[in-house]
Amino acid sequence: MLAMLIGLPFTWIVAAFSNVNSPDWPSGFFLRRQSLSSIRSTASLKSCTLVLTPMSPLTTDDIRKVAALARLKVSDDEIGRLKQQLGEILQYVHRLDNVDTSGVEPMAHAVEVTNVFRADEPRESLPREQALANAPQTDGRYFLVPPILNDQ
Amino acid sequence: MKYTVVVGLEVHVQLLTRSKIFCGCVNRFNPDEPNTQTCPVCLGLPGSLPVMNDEAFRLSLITAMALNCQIAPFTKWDRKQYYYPDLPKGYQISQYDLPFSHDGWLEVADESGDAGGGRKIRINRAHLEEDAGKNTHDESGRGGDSRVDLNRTGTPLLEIVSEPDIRSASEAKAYLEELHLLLTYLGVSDCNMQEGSLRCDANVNLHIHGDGGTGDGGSSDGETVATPIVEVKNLNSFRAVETAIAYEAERQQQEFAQTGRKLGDPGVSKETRGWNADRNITFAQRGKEEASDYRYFPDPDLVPVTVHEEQLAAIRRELREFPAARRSRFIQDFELSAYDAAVIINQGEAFANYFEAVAQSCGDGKQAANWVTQSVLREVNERQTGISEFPIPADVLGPVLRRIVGAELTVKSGREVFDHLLSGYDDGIEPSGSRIASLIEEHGLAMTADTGEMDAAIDAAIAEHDRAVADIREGKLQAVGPLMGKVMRVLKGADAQVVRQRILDRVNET
Repeated sequence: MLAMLIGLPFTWIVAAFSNVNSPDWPSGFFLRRQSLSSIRSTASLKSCTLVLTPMSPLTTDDIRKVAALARLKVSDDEIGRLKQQLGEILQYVHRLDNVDTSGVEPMAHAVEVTNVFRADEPRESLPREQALANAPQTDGRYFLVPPILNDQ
Repeated sequence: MKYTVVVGLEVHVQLLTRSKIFCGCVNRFNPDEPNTQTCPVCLGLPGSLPVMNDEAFRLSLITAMALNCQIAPFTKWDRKQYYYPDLPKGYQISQYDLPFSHDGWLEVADESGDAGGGRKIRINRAHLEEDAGKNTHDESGRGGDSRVDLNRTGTPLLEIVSEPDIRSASEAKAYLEELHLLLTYLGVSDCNMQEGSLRCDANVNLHIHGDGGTGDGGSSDGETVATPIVEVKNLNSFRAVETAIAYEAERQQQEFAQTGRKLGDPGVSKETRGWNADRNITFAQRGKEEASDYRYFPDPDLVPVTVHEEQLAAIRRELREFPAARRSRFIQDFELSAYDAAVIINQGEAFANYFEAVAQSCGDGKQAANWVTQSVLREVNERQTGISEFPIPADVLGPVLRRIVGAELTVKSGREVFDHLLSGYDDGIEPSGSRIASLIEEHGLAMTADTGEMDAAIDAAIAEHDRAVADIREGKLQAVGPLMGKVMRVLKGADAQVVRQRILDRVNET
């Protein structure tokens, strides 16, 4: 379980914590080299600006919140350890604050390629047995999951 | 308490592509064979990569342009992270800060149905995302497992978000109906609400107007206050949209009268409610502590898309006339009532084409509208067929109506021809122009313009009905009946009104 949280792609963890400080941060983190004028003419410039607020130390509630969002149950022991480890990761990322990015244009993607499409042509799907092969539980037709509380 | 209902709608519409948005699995509603339309991409298996379906993006552009939206020259896709069993990747690929389109509008007919009295409902944005799978919960109450079908996962989904410009439950329904009509006309979606191709959430609150201190609610200083915003989920029929919003307005008014809670008060946040279509009530779904935190960030697996003016121009050239424009044109060019125009347009594009062909052929839009919205529509419904399979094509009905307009046939005789064309078709005789002529000939339906022939028939009838003639002279006009019957049997195509008048004239002359 711990591995699940730690093992998330790095960007996920960063993104997961970013909102603790600034809801607009994740998109801002990724710079892109498209011209700014193209951004201005679209929906939102605000969320494209680079915002990295100074770190406040992670709290136990932060860890609980992120764990809850990832549907993970963490013990008090684990919270202490995760708080330290994730804090170190964020600290590391915050070294980017030292880079002067004034005049650097935001970037939406790491590679400078756009417009990759495929033709709308159906292909064969997996046989159902194969689709269900990795499921922890199935009835042979559906994936089965623990009962979801139906709000109704 | 005086208040205005303020509504914004979020509509999700599945696009009519052949394959899914990011993989080659077939895009087809198929709940009977669960988990047979999946692959590593839409199952979210590690190492698989999504590739954008060009047709999904093209249909999105068409829709956004029809909604008068600005098309962004640069757009990208983001990951919206949440955990739910119908979302195998743990995130939905959606669009966050750079949607492909924004700032459009849709004109909705005025509630009074007047032509040209429409209201523009602004569109905030339309963005392209992937649909999730389908969960089925155990309804027995014994807490059995939930079942997950991932056939729907990865179906291209267009989210169309309106501004909070809608001012009543019925206007919300009208907006959704207009959107449904437009999307169906464009052919971008089948909009089948039973199958979930078109789904709707409504954001609802009230603006309560100040009462100047009369004590029946509202603020005492005459200012308007707003109730907390409620999002009502899963409104999956036109009726649900209308009744749920009406219910919610009433509920919010009562809640405000009791609690005085308003938008912006400390601790007041947006509430999510569900709609129970059986009991016609909304119910609380999630508390604030469970409010979603989606942690959006750009999806590194998909590259951005740039859109060029030439591409938009090419689409613009292919766009056909939109239903709202066509409706106005029918009202203007063919002098139709707003009601008739709406009936015709709402039947779909093929039906509108049929009407237009008939109207042009007979030269009388009103006559064509009467026939098409009554006789033709009734037959189409009774035969449970589409207008394109209707036995009497527009180029046959047109000439029938042209004879009516040209006073060669009475409306009654026209109906007879219409019925004969249909019954003949059922016996294997194809309706055609020459068939019309032979039917008129065969049944003696041609309108008698020759007054000599008519007068001869009338005089013969008068001679045979002394009693009736005497009654008419005494002012008992209903006595004209037997005379009419006699004359009409001789002159089948005659206009009954003309014959009646002529009989009365002749009786009084002699």
